[in-house]
Amino acid sequence: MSLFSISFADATVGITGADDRALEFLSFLFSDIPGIGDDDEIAYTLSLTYDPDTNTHRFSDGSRTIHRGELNAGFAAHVYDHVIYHLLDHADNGIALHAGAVAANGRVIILPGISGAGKSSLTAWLTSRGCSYQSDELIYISATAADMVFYFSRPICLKAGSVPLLAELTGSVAPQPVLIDNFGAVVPHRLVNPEFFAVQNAPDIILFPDFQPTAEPRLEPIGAARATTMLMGCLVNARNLEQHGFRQIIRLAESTTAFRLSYRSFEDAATCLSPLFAAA
Amino acid sequence: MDINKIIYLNDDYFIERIDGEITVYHPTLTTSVYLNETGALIWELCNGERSVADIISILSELYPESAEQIETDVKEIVIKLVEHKIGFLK
Repeated sequence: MSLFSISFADATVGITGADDRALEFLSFLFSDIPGIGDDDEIAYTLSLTYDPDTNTHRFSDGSRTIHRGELNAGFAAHVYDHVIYHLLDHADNGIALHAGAVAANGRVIILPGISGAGKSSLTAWLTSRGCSYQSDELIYISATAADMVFYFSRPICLKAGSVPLLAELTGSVAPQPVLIDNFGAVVPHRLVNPEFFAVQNAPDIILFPDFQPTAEPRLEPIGAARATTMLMGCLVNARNLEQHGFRQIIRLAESTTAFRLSYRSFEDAATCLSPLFAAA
Repeated sequence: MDINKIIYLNDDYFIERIDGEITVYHPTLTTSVYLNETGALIWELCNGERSVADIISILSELYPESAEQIETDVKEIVIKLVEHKIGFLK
């Protein structure tokens, strides 16, 4: 029985798995997560095992089956949900935000938003335009490690409605290796931009994506009070933090330039964002 | 809305004033509210003794040229505070 460990945000989750396919799947999902394979103390253990009778894999938490089936995009979603939950369950040394993140021209841009806000799609599109992908889902800003930031650099996870973007993002109608099913697609970010370098810098820009199919596109600067309010809605580990992380979020909002991007298409986004990327 | 009711603010919230605007977070309900400069002004007038009508009257005296918009703005902010359970009318 092999143990696959994922370390992020001061915690390590272990997944036990017996077969090569399971380990290959986990490597696909977590190979760029900082700290992978460290011998840190395991905070929680899940398991991924193969059932030869049904030719499926079972993802479980103790005796409880979380999901059973083929190792595809839908299966990956269950794995990510539970691994992230257990990584952050006791995280109290920093703020964890639902946010995409890219680096460009020496600056880091984070794209906070709740599930369905469009951050993965916009992050993927920015990556395809030359930004260095950092995450499409989660960042952790440590309060103790000199404000070091950790980006959850998993493959880009597109929901079903965004899968048609794949050809535009990767230049191929059938890029490999990609997990695609009715749930969506899990796309290695190097297929979108092979230039990847992990950063640990604090964000320089906060960009709140707001996809509005009928509204005029606009890049609107927003003040720290409004940014704080919006960021609190994206905070994952509030319950672990003093004052629910309110003061830490305020510090982030006061020290970082923030915008809201209303856009109808990626062409709109490109037009609105060009001044931002031009300024150094 | 009965504008003769008094607007009370609940006790359990965190608040920060930044550049004339306000962000409020309710830890129990985990809701947050943003108030722009106008909303911040209205917030400061919610002292647990003034009715919605009182607040409209005070602001209309201060800004007579905006009297018509003031009633709309005050009601919108009060509704926002009540919907997010930051405040209540009584």
